[in-house]
Amino acid sequence: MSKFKYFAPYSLPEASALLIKFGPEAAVISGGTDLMIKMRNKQIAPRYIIDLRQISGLDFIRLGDTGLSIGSRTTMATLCRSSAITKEYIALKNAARVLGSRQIRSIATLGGNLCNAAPSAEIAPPLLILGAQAQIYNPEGGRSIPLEQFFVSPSKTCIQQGEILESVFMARPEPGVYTTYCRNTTRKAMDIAVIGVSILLKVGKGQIIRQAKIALGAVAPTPILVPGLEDVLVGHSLKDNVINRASELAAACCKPINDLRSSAEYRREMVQVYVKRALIELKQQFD
Amino acid sequence: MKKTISLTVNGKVYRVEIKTTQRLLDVIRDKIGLLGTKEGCGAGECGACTVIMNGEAVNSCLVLAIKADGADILTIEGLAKEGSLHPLQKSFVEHGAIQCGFCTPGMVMSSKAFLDEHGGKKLTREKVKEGISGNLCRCTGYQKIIDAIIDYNTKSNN
Amino acid sequence: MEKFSVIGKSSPQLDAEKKVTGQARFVTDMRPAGTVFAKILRSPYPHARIVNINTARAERLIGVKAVITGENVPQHKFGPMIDDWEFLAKDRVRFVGDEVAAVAAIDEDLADEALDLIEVEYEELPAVFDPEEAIKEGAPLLHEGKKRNIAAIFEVEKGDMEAGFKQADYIFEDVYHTSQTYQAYLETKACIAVPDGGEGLILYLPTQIPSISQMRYAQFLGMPESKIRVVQPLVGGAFGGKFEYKSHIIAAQLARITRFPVKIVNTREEDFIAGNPRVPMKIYLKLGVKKDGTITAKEVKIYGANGARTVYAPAIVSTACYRNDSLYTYQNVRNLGYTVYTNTVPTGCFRGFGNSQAHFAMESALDMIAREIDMDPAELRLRNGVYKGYTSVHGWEILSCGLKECIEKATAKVDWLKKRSQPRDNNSKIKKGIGLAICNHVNGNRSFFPPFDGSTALVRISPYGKVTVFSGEADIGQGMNTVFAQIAAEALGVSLQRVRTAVVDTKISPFGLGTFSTRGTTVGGRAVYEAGVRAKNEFLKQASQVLGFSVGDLDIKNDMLINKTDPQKNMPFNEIAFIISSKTGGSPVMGQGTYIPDTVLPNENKYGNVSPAYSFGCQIAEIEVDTETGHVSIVNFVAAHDVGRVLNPLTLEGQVEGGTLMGIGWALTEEMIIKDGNVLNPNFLDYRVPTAMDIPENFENIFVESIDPNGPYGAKGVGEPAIDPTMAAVANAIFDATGVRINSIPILPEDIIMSLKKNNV
Repeated sequence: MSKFKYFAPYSLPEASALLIKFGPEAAVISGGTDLMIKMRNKQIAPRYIIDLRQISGLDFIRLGDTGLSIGSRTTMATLCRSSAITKEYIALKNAARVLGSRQIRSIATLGGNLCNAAPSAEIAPPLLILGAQAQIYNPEGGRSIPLEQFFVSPSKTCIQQGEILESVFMARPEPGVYTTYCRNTTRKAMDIAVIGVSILLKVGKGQIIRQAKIALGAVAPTPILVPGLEDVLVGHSLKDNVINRASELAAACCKPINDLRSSAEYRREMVQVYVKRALIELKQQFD
Repeated sequence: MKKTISLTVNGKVYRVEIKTTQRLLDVIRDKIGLLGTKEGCGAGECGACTVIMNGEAVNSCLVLAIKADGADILTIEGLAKEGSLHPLQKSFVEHGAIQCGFCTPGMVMSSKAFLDEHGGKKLTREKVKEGISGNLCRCTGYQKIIDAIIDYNTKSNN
Repeated sequence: MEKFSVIGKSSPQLDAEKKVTGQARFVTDMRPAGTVFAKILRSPYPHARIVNINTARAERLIGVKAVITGENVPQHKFGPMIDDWEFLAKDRVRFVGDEVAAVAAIDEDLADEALDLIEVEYEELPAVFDPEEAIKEGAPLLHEGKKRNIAAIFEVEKGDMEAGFKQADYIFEDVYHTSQTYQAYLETKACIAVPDGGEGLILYLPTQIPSISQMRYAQFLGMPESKIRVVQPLVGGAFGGKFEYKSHIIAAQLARITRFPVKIVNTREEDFIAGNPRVPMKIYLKLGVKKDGTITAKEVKIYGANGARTVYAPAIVSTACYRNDSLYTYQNVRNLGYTVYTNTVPTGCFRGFGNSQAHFAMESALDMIAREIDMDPAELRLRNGVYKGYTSVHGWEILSCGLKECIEKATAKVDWLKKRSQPRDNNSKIKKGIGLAICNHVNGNRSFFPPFDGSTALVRISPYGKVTVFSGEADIGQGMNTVFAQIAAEALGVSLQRVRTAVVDTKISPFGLGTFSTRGTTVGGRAVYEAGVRAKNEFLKQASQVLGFSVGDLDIKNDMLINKTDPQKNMPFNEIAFIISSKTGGSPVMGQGTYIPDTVLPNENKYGNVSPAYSFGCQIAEIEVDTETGHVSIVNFVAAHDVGRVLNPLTLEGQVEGGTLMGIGWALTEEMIIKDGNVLNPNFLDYRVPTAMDIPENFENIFVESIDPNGPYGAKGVGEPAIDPTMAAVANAIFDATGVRINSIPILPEDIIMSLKKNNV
């Protein structure tokens, strides 16, 4: 690991000032599970490390009347255990539960998983379907953007110099909302997602779908939301042909690559299979 | 760049001078001299370096030492009390859960953490497998490790 | 029934308590006073000319004790099988990871920093990675004088091939591929070399071959053997991966230069890219079979990747060519094996040693043949399998054989015939399947080190009645030391608590070949037995002298010296030990035991008897395949092994469970992915060793005791047999479940899905 100077500021303004001062030679550390490996492999060699550990107000899960807010330094283990994450948000827990290993989940944080911007990031698809807004600190008073706009490309987010991801906010889903997350891996544990699928359905009278969102991981340069579901799912009940059309649509819209974990072809196949399975699972919940 | 941190390891408080690049694993092994915690991969992928930090199992190879400033750490050396094995350790021995022994300290610490987390509740075999799935063992095929944990769990329920 | 008091009973490993409390010390935990740390600069290119190396900046760094390159190290070539190793790459690098230079410095960070300061100018050369490409005329050559990159050819033909195939009603031909897998022991390769006065060195090595290391490293370093002492502390797993290794001699050389103890520990990535992983093989197999199932002829052609220099691949390829000919009774064989240089990591031993690759091909093929001739696969094995008293086509004498019993017990356990004939649910996405494979294995290999066979052990009784076993064989984590102690305790008539096996130290221990070829228990253990018997006789003789009893009246049982004529005169073993010591000027009671197997070194046509005993087994995998995702779950796994006699049920079960899971990993997930000479997955995230979630839901061990005439108390080894049949058992079960036959391992979920699509199943 290359040498670096370490700072653990006590506030976001201080942290932001350090990031502006050191520019691209600085890196933010939250849990560190990704950063430590990248530094060790010499993929990156930041000369300044800015640790968020002493900044209060980043480690919280709050369920309010308007919605659910999660601080960026919240660990996966905390997410798994939290009673604030209620049934409608369950996809988040599904994802947090399978990320890395138990030991990784003890220290890996929500912010880290998002800012690392891996196309396969487990926590991204659930946040996408839940319509998460990323709350970003900057010296100008901060900004809030939809998570769809947060990811730019592999390992790259929209975070600018001096900005720090503070939290994510998800408006309280309306009654009748069900969510889930599932993924395909080669090994049953300790693996990176070959593909990940997260689905939100709002069900109205007569089991008719009123709202539908499907997000996919590891099938494009960033986690993505499947467009065009309104036509396929909304207004329908989850009959076999509807499920099939939705899963075909999801498979058609992804742009997977061949890499050492899978071929593009298998990824596309699996999107179809997992979307189908997730829809069936949700159907069983509200049937 | 050097820094001084203090941390509690197995109930004792230590003040150590560290380089910023050092990991908790390096502090435990090289500064405090507790060599039971092993380095298997250095990347959080094998679990051999697992210790319990503030009540949670962590890969000590992924924790910058400086982030452990003020932390309460339990290592494999802190389990046995007054010369007698912790019942979980005893169960590992009796069930033949140990072959080469290199993964053993991390495996025991992982098991301890998730058993504690479940507060002594009775665990299924499936749950135990999940609990230790961040720890690789290449010798045993895990069957005897799972037996050891299940047996300990059953006995502590009786 | 013979009565035993120690063997046959479960005992945890004797050092388990040390291991579970973190007190056990591995080489990676050791740091003799004054230790400096060394790092190795490795080639980033698969094949390149070294134009220039500049170490000046590294040498100037304060705290750097020495920098070595190909220029200032011993210049001769050497190697365990072929002299194609250089101490450090001199003019050329031949694989990504090839050793170019090394630095010793006062700490690891500094050594790393110094490595970064070494400037190497390379000129890339054309490279070749696949053995079948490398053997073609015109392929880039790796070593001078090695035409078509051939490191070794193994050829054997017996019987009448033409007649054999003519007799056949059915000719089967197919091609198999086995991946390059990595041993993945949890402790990476390591070494500490300590200057020991004058020229001398003590090497602390986690190795399978302490005595051979002393001998070979003396040659490699150009030193007398007497100046090298090898000590083998605990080994954090080996599985064939810890034999002769470059970093050991690099540490030794740096210790000679600096006069400081030098420690080198591989990073996990180094261990992947520059360890000695399994020989990947392409296997062309042809079999002739009669309608009644009799195999009439077998022909095989194998290409194995040697990597950039020779470790043990030629022996491994030859094993793949012909070892399993002695599992069956066919008499017509033609085997041809090429070990071919490639610009990839040098390949070496790994549990199964080529026999596992051959088994995957043969046992998969027999499954297809059984279907073709409409015969049960178990029945086909029974029809062709060897039996006690049989001498195989290559001269292997089967003195004990529980193969039939293994097959019968394993199939009975799973209700084989019923499950095979059960109608399958065609509508279900989850398909069930069941598959079987059998195996043989040697217990020691006469051809491995031709000048030598056998083992010697010393059993010493201390004045306080404690017993120490000295052997040159190596416990590598599997528990051999515990089994040796059990054998000695049984032979002596004392309890196991009294007995310990000493750390191997070439200054003290007898010369021993080491741990490979599944020889530890059988060959090493037999020597321990002989030593135990002699120690007992010596103890009784001395006891009779000091106590004035007739030797014939004495015996040792349950830690007591028994007086058969008068039980009143029985005395505790330890008290007698002290009396003997007191009256003999402290002379320890010792027994030396030697076992020289009655093996025959194979002749030019590979006819001989390579091992004193042969192990057999039958494994059955019951699986479920998710036909939408290709995921395979092992629902039940039955491993039936002929182990001669069970010495320690607990450690035996553990060894089989571990070996089998390693085979399941190979069958389903494990492969080093190499592109343009670079290992793309040199880590435990993308090289997928099974986790606890990936194990069979249920696992059944069956042990068959065939009581071998040569093994200690009839015991035979199980280390390698545990993996030999596993891959084919799984592949056969996948075939049974899905109807798709995949001849290349690992069989990834994706492979199953693509095959299903291709076959429109």
